[in-house]
Amino acid sequence: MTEVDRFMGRARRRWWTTTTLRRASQGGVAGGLAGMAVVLTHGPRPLALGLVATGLLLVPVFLFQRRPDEVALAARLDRAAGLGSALTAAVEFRDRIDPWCSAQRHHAARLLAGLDPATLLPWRGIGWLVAATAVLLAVTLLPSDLRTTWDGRGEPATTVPAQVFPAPVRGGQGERAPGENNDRSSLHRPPTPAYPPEGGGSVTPTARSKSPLPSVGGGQGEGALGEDNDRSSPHRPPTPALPHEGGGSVTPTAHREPPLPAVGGGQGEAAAGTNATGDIGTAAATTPLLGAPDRALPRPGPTATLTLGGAALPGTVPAPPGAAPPTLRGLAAAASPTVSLAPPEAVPLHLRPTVARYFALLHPQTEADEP
Amino acid sequence: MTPSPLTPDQAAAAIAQLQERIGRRVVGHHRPLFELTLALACGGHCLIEGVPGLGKTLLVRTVAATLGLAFARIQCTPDLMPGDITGTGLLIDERGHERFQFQPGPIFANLVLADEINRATPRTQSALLEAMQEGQVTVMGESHRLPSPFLLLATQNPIEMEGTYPLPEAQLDRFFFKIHLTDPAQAELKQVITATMVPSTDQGEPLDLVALQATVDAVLVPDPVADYAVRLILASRPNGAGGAAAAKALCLGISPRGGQCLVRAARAAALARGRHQVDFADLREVALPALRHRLLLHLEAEMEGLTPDQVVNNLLEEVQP
Repeated sequence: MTEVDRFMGRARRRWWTTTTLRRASQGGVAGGLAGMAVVLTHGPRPLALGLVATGLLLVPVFLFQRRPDEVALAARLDRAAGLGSALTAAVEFRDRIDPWCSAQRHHAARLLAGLDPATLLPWRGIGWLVAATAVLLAVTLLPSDLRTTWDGRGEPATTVPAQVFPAPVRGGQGERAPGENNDRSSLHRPPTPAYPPEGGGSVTPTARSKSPLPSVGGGQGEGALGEDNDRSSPHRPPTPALPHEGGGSVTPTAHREPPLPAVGGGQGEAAAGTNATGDIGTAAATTPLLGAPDRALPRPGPTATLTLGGAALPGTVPAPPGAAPPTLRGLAAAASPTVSLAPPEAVPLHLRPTVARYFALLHPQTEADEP
Repeated sequence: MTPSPLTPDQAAAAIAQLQERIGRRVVGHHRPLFELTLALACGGHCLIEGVPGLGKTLLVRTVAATLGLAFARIQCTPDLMPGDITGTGLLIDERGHERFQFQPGPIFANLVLADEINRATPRTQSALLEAMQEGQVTVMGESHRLPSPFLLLATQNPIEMEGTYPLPEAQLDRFFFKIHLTDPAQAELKQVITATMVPSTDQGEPLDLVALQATVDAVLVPDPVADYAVRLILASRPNGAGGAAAAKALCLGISPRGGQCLVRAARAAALARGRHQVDFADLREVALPALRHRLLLHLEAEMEGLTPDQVVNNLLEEVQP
């Protein structure tokens, strides 16, 4: 065995060692990432560890199919040592029995005398090794509470509890309680005192609300009064007048799908039975608040519309975004002593003073008239 | 009888000695002198290009004197006939018996200088093709072997093109090297103008060029180096699969014969460095003289001022070992 052969043997072992470690590290990183994905999706931890082990073992096996031959390794050593092509020629022509080739091998052996394969083939896989160790530790030690972002059923862990935004009362998409108490109950709002049952009307929702978009002037709902069953929505045909004065009968015709939270009768219909005796029509408020909270998307704020004697007041009363007008009673009182109100039950408690101040600024006399 | 090859050290010493001896009379031109030495070691014909007065003829005469070779000079003119180069058959009358006897031309020498070769007609230029490629000439249906070694060193003037016949590609491809002579530097110019015009006759013992040429063939070419040469050749093909961006300026890339010359010149360059095997650096070192005359540029590239040397350098830059 010549000096060139011995040197190539050492270089080959060095190459195998460094390449195996580096490629195993790369495979470990790949398998570890796959294992982390398994862990994060609540997969079994043994499966994740198995992926890591598979990466550690299979990727080197796969990559070793493309390992360089002796001449390529010699060419790499030549480049690293600056030998030109001396070692390459010595390896390539090692089997040739020729004085010229023998002289070339001796010459190459002299050049290789002071060289070490470890310096020519340095270890460059430290980054991969660290990454593989880190990923393996992460797969092994990742606590279960950190890996709960999605529970696998499409339900985000950060879902807001449903009670923050109360579910609508059955039939609440515009339905009004019949008779003397047309107020609706709300979790955040004290019950409104019942009005005297004059005229004794009944309220029946007739609106068929399909679109969750807010409408102006009771657009998605309809308000019916005893003698004045005019509606302010231009999109709906007029409801025939109820037969008796001062009282109204309301025919339930509303059919909503899916049920959306009713806000102040805005998306449903608000009708006053005995209270709707006078000239005042309905006051309806709508809100864009839908079934699911979506605070990131700006939406138009609620609007309140007054109708007087069947004719809508010009324009709509602007309301602050995200809140329904809570003081519709004041608005209605400013126009007439009798008014049908839509309870602003969707306005959170902490916003109600603000909204009330807003409307008080718009109509100071209304505030003064309020009890 | 095949001469025994020299060792790399002996070959390197012989090449250095040849350069040193020529350099005694030819001032400067170190790089062209080295390239000419490599061509001589490979047995290749050279086309030497330079403006008048740079010492082209002196260089060739000095080489012949240094090597102790038979020297002949052909001054090419438009009225030069092929028979003036190759020789012709003379009718000899010997006591009533007439016969043709071949009278060899000046090409029957070891070292032939074809001065201003582009002034000869294409017919005369083509008379050199067989001699350059096969080392023989055919006159009146009879082939005559040229002496060995046979080296043709042709010169041409790149400036004065009126009344000239540019060499066709086929003939250019038969030249091993195209060597450019440039103006001497200031110190060399001073040395030239103060030197005596009397030619020196002291050349010492002639060098064994044949042994040197036999040694070149023994130099090893490892596979990675050969692969690099192939990549370089393929990169010069404008329409080839491995064509480089630099090849877009070319109509014609490097021929296989050009590749042969490139590798053989690299062998000689390795030998001049005292090595047993060719290195990547040897290929890159000889690429310019070996390839510059084998590239045919597009007219647009020539109009833009691109030269074959720039294209070769771009190829070398683009195709790394």
